[in-house]
Amino acid sequence: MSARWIAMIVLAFGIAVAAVDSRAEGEPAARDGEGRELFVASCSSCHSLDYMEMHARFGTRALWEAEVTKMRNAYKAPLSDDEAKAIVEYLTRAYGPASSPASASR
Amino acid sequence: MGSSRTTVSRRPMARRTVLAALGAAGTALLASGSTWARAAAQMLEALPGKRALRRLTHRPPNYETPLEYFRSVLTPNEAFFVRYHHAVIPQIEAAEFRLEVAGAALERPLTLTLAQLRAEFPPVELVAVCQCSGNRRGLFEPPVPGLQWGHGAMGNARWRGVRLADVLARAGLRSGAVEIAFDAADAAPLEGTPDYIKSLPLGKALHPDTLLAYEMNGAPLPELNGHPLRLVVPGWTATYWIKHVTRIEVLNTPASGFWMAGAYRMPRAAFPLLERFPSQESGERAPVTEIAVNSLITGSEILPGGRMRVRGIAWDAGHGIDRVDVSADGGRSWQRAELGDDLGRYSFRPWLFEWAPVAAGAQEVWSRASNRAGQTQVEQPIANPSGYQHNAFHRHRIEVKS
Repeated sequence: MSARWIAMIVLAFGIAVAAVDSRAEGEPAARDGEGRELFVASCSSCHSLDYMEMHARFGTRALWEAEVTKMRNAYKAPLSDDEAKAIVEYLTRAYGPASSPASASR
Repeated sequence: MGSSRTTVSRRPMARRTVLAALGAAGTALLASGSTWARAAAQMLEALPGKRALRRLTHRPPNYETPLEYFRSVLTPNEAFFVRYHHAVIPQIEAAEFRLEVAGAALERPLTLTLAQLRAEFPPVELVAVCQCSGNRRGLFEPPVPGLQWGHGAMGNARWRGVRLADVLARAGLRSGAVEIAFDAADAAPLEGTPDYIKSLPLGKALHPDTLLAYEMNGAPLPELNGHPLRLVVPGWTATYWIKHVTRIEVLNTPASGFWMAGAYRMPRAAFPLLERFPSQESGERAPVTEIAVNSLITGSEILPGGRMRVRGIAWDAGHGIDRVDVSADGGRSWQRAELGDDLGRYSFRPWLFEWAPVAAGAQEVWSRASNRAGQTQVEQPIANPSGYQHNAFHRHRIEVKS
């Protein structure tokens, strides 16, 4: 069963399952870095990762902190404080202004 | 809308045709100075039922209209921009569609089919610009977080439908109604994410130009533009133009969900809005409402004898375009452009301008629209935290041959 089908079943039942890569065909892959798996599992069930690519040129720590906070408070992403911190670390390193663009797309 | 979750299906997003093409829109964006826009200008991709549009995000789908389509006053349905907040997008059979009209401040709650809307209410047609509040956000410097739109998160169409006021009249408004709220059949993948619900003040909801539209440019609404019914709020930004609208609720207290209380707001003092939304204003922040006066240069050509011609469009919140001025010398002098066909006060207004350039080489042409309410485009966009209402002069690069 492909990740896509799993994602569709997850969507159909409205269950947040954190362990799948929900990307549809053609969507950009997550950039490399520590915390990548947690990031993909936590974020890609609701949106594609081109949102990160789009902000990378000005993706400072302050920006990623604000975005993760918004995702938790406004969009109700079920993240613990430790998970949120780890995702901000990953995003700041992988999608900061000094990072290199993603080379991978599946 | 959690209860509709079982009736919606996720649109299959896999079967898409990737078209690698750098069109006129890409060229225009190259001049915009936005690094991201420069890279993204090449990502033109066709969604089901659409021509190749500039992709910002795959899921939820956010795609903008390439600039070349704004050379016609009406934007083709197949090229009309696509914007979703949430990734679960409904596919609704017109025959199975139901619109619920409910609320405490209502005498007779209703449920209407599409056939009833078409048959039992007088049809109304008007041309109006649908423009995202964040159109041109990607052109702000310093950059602002959010979808990095270029010029194409907008379109102009001939909408046909029924007056919202007529539907509300059948349901019977009670005194005490303060806002009308709209919910749609789309949903977020996560149960806890706030549903996309927007409201309008009573005055705007009852305005005779505010429609529940079932047709766009003579055809049923495209799937990705709100099929089978959407709200059309002429003069106001697209955040209020709810797609796939399934529920209207008459409220006797102001709507308080995230998308009203926590989003689409800007510093009140920074923007001279004429149409306001008083029941939603709080402290320094006010909801985005009307579309700011704006213009866009859509092309240029060299005429015999070395004269140049630029063409463009201008639009506003429906006060009406009064004039468009063009400068070919960096704003030192301005000359009036010739306005074209008037398709109504909410429509794009085409214009053109001809002149004899005094020097050869690369140069910029600027356009500046003014409306009948005395509002004019600004030289620099007004900075605000969410990057709304970018209406700086449009600056278009041309090459004059010696």
